[in-house]
Parts: sequence; C-alpha cells; structure tokens
Amino acid sequence: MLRRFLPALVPTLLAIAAFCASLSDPYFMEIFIMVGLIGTVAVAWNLMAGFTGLVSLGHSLFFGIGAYTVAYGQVGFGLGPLATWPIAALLALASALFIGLLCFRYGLRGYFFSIATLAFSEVAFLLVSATLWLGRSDGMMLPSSPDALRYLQFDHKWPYGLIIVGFLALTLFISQAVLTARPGYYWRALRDNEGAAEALGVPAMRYKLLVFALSAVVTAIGGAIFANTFAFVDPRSTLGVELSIQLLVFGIIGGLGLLWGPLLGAALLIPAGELLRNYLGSGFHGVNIVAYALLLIVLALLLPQGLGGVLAARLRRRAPEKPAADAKALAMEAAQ
Amino acid sequence: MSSTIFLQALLSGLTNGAIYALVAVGLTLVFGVMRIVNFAHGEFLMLAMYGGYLAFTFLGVDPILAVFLVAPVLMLMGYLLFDGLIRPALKVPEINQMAVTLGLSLLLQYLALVVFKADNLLVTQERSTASIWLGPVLIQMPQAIAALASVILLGLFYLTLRKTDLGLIMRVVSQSRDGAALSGIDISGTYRWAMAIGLGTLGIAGPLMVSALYVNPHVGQLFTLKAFVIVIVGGMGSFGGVLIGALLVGVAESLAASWLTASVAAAVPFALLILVMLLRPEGLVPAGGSR
Amino acid sequence: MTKFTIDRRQTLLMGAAIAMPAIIPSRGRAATEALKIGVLVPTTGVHASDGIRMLKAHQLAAKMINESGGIKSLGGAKLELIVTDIQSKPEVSRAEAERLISRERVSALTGAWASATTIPAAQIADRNRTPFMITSAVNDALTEQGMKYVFRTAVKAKWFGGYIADFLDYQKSKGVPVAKLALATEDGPAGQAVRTNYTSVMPGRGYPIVADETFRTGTPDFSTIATKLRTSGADGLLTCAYAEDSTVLLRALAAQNFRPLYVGFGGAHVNQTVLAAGKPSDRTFGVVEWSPDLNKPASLAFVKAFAEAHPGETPLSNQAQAFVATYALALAADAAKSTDRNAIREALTSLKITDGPAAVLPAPVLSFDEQGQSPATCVIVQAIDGKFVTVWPEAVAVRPPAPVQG
Repeated sequence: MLRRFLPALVPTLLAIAAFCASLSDPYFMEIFIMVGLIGTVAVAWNLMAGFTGLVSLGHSLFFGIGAYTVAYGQVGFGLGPLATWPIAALLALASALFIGLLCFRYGLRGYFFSIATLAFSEVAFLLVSATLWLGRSDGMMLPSSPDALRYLQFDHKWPYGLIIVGFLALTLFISQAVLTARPGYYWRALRDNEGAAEALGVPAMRYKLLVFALSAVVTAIGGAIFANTFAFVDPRSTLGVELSIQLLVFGIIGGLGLLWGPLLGAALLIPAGELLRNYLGSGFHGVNIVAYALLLIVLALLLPQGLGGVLAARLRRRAPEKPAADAKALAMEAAQ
Repeated sequence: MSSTIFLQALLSGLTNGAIYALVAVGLTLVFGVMRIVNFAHGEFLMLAMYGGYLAFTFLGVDPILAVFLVAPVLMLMGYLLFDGLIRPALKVPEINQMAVTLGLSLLLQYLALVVFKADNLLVTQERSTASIWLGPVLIQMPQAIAALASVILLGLFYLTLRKTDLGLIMRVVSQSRDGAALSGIDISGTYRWAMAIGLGTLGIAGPLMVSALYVNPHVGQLFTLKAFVIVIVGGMGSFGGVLIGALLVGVAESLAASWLTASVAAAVPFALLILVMLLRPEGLVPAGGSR
Repeated sequence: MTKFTIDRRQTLLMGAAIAMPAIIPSRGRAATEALKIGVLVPTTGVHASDGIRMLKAHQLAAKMINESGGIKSLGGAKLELIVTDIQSKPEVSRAEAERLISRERVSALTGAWASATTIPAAQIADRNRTPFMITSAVNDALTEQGMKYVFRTAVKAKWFGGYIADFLDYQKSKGVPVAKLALATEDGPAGQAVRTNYTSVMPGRGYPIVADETFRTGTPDFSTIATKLRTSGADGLLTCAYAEDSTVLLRALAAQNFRPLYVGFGGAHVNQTVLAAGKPSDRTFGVVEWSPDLNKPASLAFVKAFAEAHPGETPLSNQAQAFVATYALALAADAAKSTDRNAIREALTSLKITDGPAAVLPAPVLSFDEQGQSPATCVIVQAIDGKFVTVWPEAVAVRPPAPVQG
C-alpha cells in the first residue's frame, strides 16, 4: 500500500519541506506558490498527454474557467470559495465532457486534437476579452473584504502556500490511485495503440472522457486557487495559450512518463527562469528567453523521456532490483 | 450596414484571405509531406519580413524585387533547418516535435529582439498609400500586390505538384512514406526539399507583407495560429484547400469585424475551425489519397 | 513501458529540485547607504520597445542625481536602481514587485508601463506598504481605490476627453471647427478606457460621435474600418492604438483620401514609428502628457541631457514621465532624510515640485493628492514636416496648429 503511493507521497513530503523552507521569505513563497500551482496543473495535464496520449493545447480554458468563476462569483454575487470552487469544478467538468464528446466522436487524434483544444481556448480567451461584465481584457480585481477568511484573503502568503500543498498532495494521491487501478492501465493501452486496446474491449470513449474530465476539474481548481491567491485575473494570464504551452514545456522537460515529471519540470524551470531574469535579464533584453528556448529544444530532442525519466532510469539501474509492487502492474500491462 | 461597407468588407476579406493563403501554403506543404506541424512558421515569416525591410532600407531594393533575394535565403534556411533540427525531431514522439518547434519559435523571436530591438520598422514608398478603386470600394496597392503574388504562387504550386517529377515524388511521399521508400525514393531528400520550398514561400510573403504592414520581433505570431486554422479548415496538406480555407477565414473574419466588436470577430476563425473539425474533420478539400 | 516505481534516493534528488527556491543564494544587502529604487519595466514581450525606452529615462535620472551629489540629506547617498524585466505580463510584474520589496529591500518602486501590468504590482506595493510611483498607466481606478502607497505622475484616462474638447473649442475659436467625431480604438485595456471616456465626454461638449469602431491590435487590414469612418460623415477622428496599428490605419485612411482632423492617443501615437509612415501621419495631432519641444527650461534640459546620453535619440512622453517619477522618489527621500518606506510615503504627500531638474512635465506644479494622483495635464502636438511639434495649449506651444489639409 505504502509502496503503491510512494510516487505521490515522496513529492508531497518534499513539497512540505520546500514550503517550510520558503516560510522565511515572501519571495521564496511566491516562487513556491507558482511552482506548486502550475506544477500540479501540469501533473493533471500530463494524465492526458503522457498517460493517454491526448496532448491538450487548450488547458488554459479550464484554468480560466476556475479563475473567472471565483472572480465573478465574488464580484457579482459575493460568493466565497466554498461555493465558487465546486461551481468551477462543475463548469470545467461540463466543458470537458462537451469538448471531449465532440472531439472523440470524430476520432481527432495527435495534432488535430491539440489544435482543436487550442481553438476552444482561444475562442474563450477572445470572448472573455470582449465581455464587459468579465472585465474585458482589463481583467478583474477581487476586492478586499472585511470578512477576509470567508474569501480566503490573508495578509501573508504562507496560507496560500499551505492550500497549494494540499492541492498538490490531493492531486498526486488521486492521480496515483487512478493510475495504478484499471483506468490507468486502460489509458496507457489507449495511448500505445488505441485500435488494439479497443479490440481487446477497452471502452475508448468512456476512458478518454474520464481522463479529460479529471484533468479539467483539477486544472479548474488550480485556476480557482490562482484567483484567490492573486486577487486578480485577466484573460492573458489565465486563458492565454502561453499557459497551455507552459504545461507542455514542463511536461517535456520533467518527463511525460512519470506522475511527478511535470512537477519536476516546473520546479526546475520556474526558479531557473527567475535566476536567468535576475542575473541576465536587465542587461540583455531577451537573452534569458533565448537560453530557455535553446534548453527546451535540446532537451526535447536529446532526452525524449525528460530529466525525470533520466533520473529515474539512472537510479533504478543503481538501486537493487526489487519492485514487487510492480509485478501486478507489469502483469496488467502484459495482459494487454 | 450599408451595401458599400458590405462590399468593402467582402473585398477586404478576399484580399486578406489571399494573403493568408500565401502564408499558409508553406505550412500545409510541410505538414502534408512530413506530418510535422511547425509552430515556428510565423517566425520565419517574421525573418523574411525583416529581410524585405533590410533590402529596401539598405540596398534600396523594391519589395517586389526583394522577393528574389529573400526567397532563396529562406529556402536555404529551410534546407539547413531540416538537417539541423527537423530530421532529428522526426525520430522523437509527436509531443516532443511540438516542443522543438515551439522552442524554435521562442528562440527566433527573442534572437530577433536581441538583434533588431523591439521597434516597429516600416517600408514607406509612394505606393504605400496608393489604391485600386472598384466602384465604391477599394484595395490598397501593397495588399493587392501580395494577393496577386499569392494567386500566382498557388498556381505555380499546382502545376509543380501535378506536372513535375518533384511534385509526383512529394505526392507519393505524402501518401505513403513506406511505399515511397520501397520504390526507391529518397525520403530525406524529399523532406529537405519540402522544408526548403515551404519556407521559401515565406520569402515571397515576407517582403510583400512588410510593405503592407510593419515588422517587429513578434509579428509572426499574428499569423501562425491563423495559418493553422486555414490549413485544417482547408484540409491538411491540400493546396486547393489552402486557398479555399484562407478565403473563407479572411471573409468570415472581415464580415464579422464589420458587425461585431473586434474581439468577438477575432474568435470567428477559431469557431469556424471547430465547426469544420467536427463536421468535416478531413477538411473542406481533403488532400488526395489516404494517410 | 514506463514504470512508476521510485526509491528513496530518487526522491531525495527530486526533493532538491522542488526545494530549489529555498536554496538560491540571496544577494547580501549592500553595505552602503544607497537609496534603492526598484524599476519594473517590460524589456521583453509585446511592450518591449516601450519598456527599453523607459528604462533609459529611469537610468538617466539616476545618473543625473548621482552626478550632482546623490541624496544630499542622506550624506550624498547614491541612488541605486534595481531594474527588472516584467516581460509585459501581469503575473510577472506582480512577482517581481514582490521580489524587489522582500528580497532587494527597495525603498520604493516605479514603472510597470501598461495598466494591466501596473495594477497587480501596485496592489502588492500597497499591501507591503512600499511607495509605488506609477509612470504611465492611465487606468482611473489606480488612484481612486484608496491605495495609500500608490502615486502617479501620469494623468487619468478620464481626463483626456476634457483636454481634447478644450482643444477642439480652441480650434473652433480659430475658425477651424469640427462638427462630428468618429472613434477608432484598440480592443484592449488602454483603448477601451479611452473609448469609454470619449463617448461619455464628447457629446456633452457639443461633439456628437457618429462612428465608433474597435479593432484588435495586430489587425492586418483597416480598409473596412476606414470605409466606415469615411462614410460616417465625421470630420474629426479620435483614436487610441498602438503605434504599429496606427501606421496601418493611417495608410488605409490615406488610401481612401480621407483626411479628417485626426487626434491620436499618447506616446503610442507621438512616436517615431508613426512618423515613419510618411505622408499619412503628416498633420495628425496627438494628445500626450509631454513633448520634447515643450517650452519649459527643465524640459529642454532633460532633452539635451538625454541626447547626450543617447546620441540621435529624442525622448518620448513616457520617458519624461519615467524620468520625473525617478526624480520625485529621490526628492522625497531627500525631504524625508530617510530611506524608510513610510518616511518616503509621508514626504511624497507633501512634495511640491515647481522648478529644478524634475519640473519637466507641462503642469505648473508636481504634487500628489491624498489618493496619490498628481495634477498632471496634457499637450496637443502635431506632426509637421516629419516632427511632432507642440501646438496647444498656447502657454507652452511652439507654434499654432497647421491646417489639416497640408
């Protein structure tokens, strides 16, 4: 049991350690918050991309649904997170099922699925940018309220960090539970060969919708936390294609085949971006991004399994052969 | 809306559509032959636009003639890009290919920022403000020239693909890579040429478009997503489809912009894409043969 | 087949990665008594060209202050700018404000360019009780929501309509009246703030609006919009657009031989790029917070110093604002005799600049009311023979307006 959840437990413990280490300094906490939040969303994205072979380039849609539900819920109706987070999850669920039904019915795969999801998120981005009561492209500020606790408004950053630790842990454990149960094996079977999997009786549609829905709901909660943490949402940061691409980049760098791969990607790249910006940025405009882009190209070409994959492989080679818990997983995979 | 404005929106939409086709045709060639989506397509357009600007500003070359300087440079870039980046990228999974071309897009934008700075640069000539009146409506001269070039280029493409050996080989490769390899076709060579020609078309688009617009390091982004939309709407890898898809996107966008607020209108091409993908996923004019 | 096993050593390594923010070495505090001011500028991303320009002005102010003996009341302490790139993104602006405040321990912040990148940074500064001197964002709310640590050298968006109406009244008094107005604004925060203001102010001042067009920045073709503007019967056109869109719009208007009285908005119009469009931009007006030919000694001195520091370059309005913003913070620290954030805030509220190198902007006095807003004003410039010339108000004008039809 413990071994089964090790890939979720260990990153959680490390996140708690990082959280504690960041308590000393609000700037570290800010970085921790971004890493934890975007990293967790990237983990959810990777359930689709890495484990099911469905590369969404439109995940900002769900993130934006979460962020804007919280913002509009508070500004328009005075609703707090207790109401807005579940609504956000439901809205994301409904949109994921709708988009999923449309896309999977016509068997959109590969680039076509990616670009279809991108198109949906762009439509949402542009429509929100044009909608007056959602603040248009100005975005919405969440006003400070005297009833601070009800709206999750804290003077310090650490409570947000704590919420994010919980979000990260919950996401990792649920994902690991699902991955090591039937849906997880079906997803991987669909990824590796959809035709063969279907022939063996995997209900492709149902399981693809399942992963899409799970991924979208987690992403929307991430967006909701974003809105509550930063008290400001705008279309470019929450619905823009840049966010979706960031998830892909974290996944590629960290490793798509691992539950915690995208989290590793976020934990490496977000601080690295900060360092590059602090030490290079002001003198040489753009040089930091040139370095970032080069790193991305080189890693994507030379390490298709990502840094996490390399790390895992190297350590597995050195570590004594043991994983008995894997026998079941291997048997399942072999059965397919 | 008065009839003048409707006609003007229609004509502008058709002109824009033709210009979009000029940008999208290279993308569809590369996808059709190699099954790789190049997210850095717009950035090569941006480089070609800088090429046109530099030729005009420092060599005094008219943008129409600059096409003959810039297109070969872009072809060479395509040739080198294939061996430097795309050939290795063909060996990694599709998602890594996306990451490679996305990285390339960022790389080129920010290299351009380092080299050219962020300022907007313009090509200003006598004909920048000239126009052709057709009754109550008009086309601006630089746009008209780019649209005309697009029609000529697409015609040449059609002839090349239908009437020459290279075209035949490309069609064969795009239909079945393994079959082509078995019949002794040099797959890598064909890919290399597809990449060179695909980027070469941007060498035609760049100088003509910089004289209609402006150039800055991020200008390519305006066109990359639109080119994707057009390629899919028209049917991936289909040249007739590119023209039809581009005209449809151009007209839809232009008519929508004359009725709706700008941001809603900007969503129209994507809505069109979603409709086409759902109702006719193979595109309006599917490329011949099966995958 | 990927396996999902993990052992303890792997997890340790991974932990090091996650915990990485915690082990970045922090830069030690400078031992000197320098006054540290954080500068938020977008030097990459869509606003990079503006940000890079602004940065030069911030740096020029720091150089001039330091060369003239630093902060005198602090024993000649140097002014040190901690510059950071906000990448034209709101969330980066926010994170960088947080970093400059908590890690670099700046005494005050300035910059942030557009409203979208300024709002989140200003909120952070206010929450952390650090003075924030806004350089160029015009969003009304910034100095209307009771933020105590936010100050602004720029005008509010809602004031622009008034300036333009005054200018049109002036034109009427000179026998060149405008009867009907058309609007063309970009569909983003700046454009829509300005559009809201124009539509609410202009009709009440006797200038009905007969066409109201919006466009997204990066629109490749303006001929339909130009046709709508032309056929609306308007003889005046008020716009708000980024420079690149302005050039395409101006060419589209020229292609249709439509030459209304054209008033562009702010530094995005009064800009080298717009002049480079050639004839279509000639004789267009711009409403702007400052102009390099402004008839004011400190302003002329600033232009001269700028030209010496950056040969061949003429500063734009936003650069003057950046220059003044930096200077105002330094003067406040001087008055406060302290680098303490609260002391600087107190000093800013009672600051009154009427002369000296910081008196660059057209308003006679630079001060900040209880909401942190300065009584800034605008000038109208006109593109005449390839240069923008101040033509209104008469007190600071270099020459009267030239006829629109050149």
